[in-house]
Amino acid sequence: MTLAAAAALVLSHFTAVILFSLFASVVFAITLREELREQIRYGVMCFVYFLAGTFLAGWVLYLLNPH
Amino acid sequence: MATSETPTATPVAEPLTTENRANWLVVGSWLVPGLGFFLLRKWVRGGLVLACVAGMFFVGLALQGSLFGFNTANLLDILGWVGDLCSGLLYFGTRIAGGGLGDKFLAMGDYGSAFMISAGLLNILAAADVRDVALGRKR
Repeated sequence: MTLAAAAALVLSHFTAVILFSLFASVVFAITLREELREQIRYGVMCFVYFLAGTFLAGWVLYLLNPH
Repeated sequence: MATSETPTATPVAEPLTTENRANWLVVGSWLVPGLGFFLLRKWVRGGLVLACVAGMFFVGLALQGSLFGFNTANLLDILGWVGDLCSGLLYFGTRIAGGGLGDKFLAMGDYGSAFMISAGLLNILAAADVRDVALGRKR
């Protein structure tokens, strides 16, 4: 089976956001902080901000067009 | 005013290597995510970068995202191509293997493309960090 013919992964939009947030937060934490404790804290903070932004954007879009 | 969290160009630790070798580490990190950290014996950082960049890239591929080819007709295509190219060998390998063609009939395909571009951008961010670590500007 070639890569082109590989089966499509089916994810909900929310799961896709969770995965994106997780990967991005880990790399941000590694690259933008030095000490382990700071890295963990920053990574968790980024992840929470990603999720909070997602919920906020979701509600804004819902309020703009509730139907 | 500089604070303790402001990144500085002055070394905060002993340089681990020379300027020239640090530049080669950046090239290596671009081609293989996390390689620069591995060569600097930062095993955990390297492993996490490899897992995150490769994970993000392959999730994008599995979501039927499409890789951008070089196309000067559209500025957004050029930016997408640059983002994809930042994944290094993941990009070249996938192109050679015939992957990354995408599926226009799947709504998640656009998400997949965004995942693969983001993987490249995270890889370049990590490669730049390798240089700072190698030169002692960051621990």
